[in-house]
Amino acid sequence: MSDDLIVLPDWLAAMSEWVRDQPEVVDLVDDRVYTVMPRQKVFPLVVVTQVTDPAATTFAHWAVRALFQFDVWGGPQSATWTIAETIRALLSQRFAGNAWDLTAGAVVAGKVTVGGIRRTTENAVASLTEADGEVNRAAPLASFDAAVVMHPGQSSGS
Amino acid sequence: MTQFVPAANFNEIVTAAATPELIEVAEDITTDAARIAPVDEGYYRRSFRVFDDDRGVGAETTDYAGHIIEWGSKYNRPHGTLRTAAAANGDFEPK
Repeated sequence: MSDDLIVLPDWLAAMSEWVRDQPEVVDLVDDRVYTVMPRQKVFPLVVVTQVTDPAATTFAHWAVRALFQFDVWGGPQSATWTIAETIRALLSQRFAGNAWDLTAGAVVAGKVTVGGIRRTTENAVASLTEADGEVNRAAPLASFDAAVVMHPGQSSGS
Repeated sequence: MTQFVPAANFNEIVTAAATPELIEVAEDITTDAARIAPVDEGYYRRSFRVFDDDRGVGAETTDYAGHIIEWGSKYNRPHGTLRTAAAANGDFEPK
């Protein structure tokens, strides 16, 4: 690979790792922060999805405005709210404006904009598409999305 | 010293002036949403439309399962069709 080729880090891997590492999140869900819903589920759990990451820079392949969705599954409803709000607060107050040297790559987080938390139960959502047996397994859900301006950082090992 | 005193209906004037271009952006969002929709055909792909009402100007889907496709469920990953299209047409920020 050419030395001057900039390949951006896996933002989703970096984001999920960072959230998983935060002590406040560990207190609430241990290490159950995933990028896909696990087959064996222990609730509550968090699923992080990267929706998109359009370029934030016009001429250089350097910074993106990544959009993530955070889904907190489990219960009771108050727990899903607390977990979602804790992650939202961490993104705004700790992740933003700092450099992070992660296993998934070194990243620098700029401005973070978080959305409102949507609270629902899975039975209401699933009733449109799932079989009755699935609908009966209601799971409280709290979701929000966050836009983060990010660019590659410098690893402490480099 | 010159002092700028906005007209009493300043907000209405600005909104009216901006609406045509906002509608153009919203149309681009619906076009992109249809292009990246996770189905090649069917109602969802044709369900995107521009609205201009008391919510302001925006783009939406009229598909009854549109929110599941957008936000996902326990069994479906979120596709984020409209948010991806919105991000491709400006600095989309969550609300």
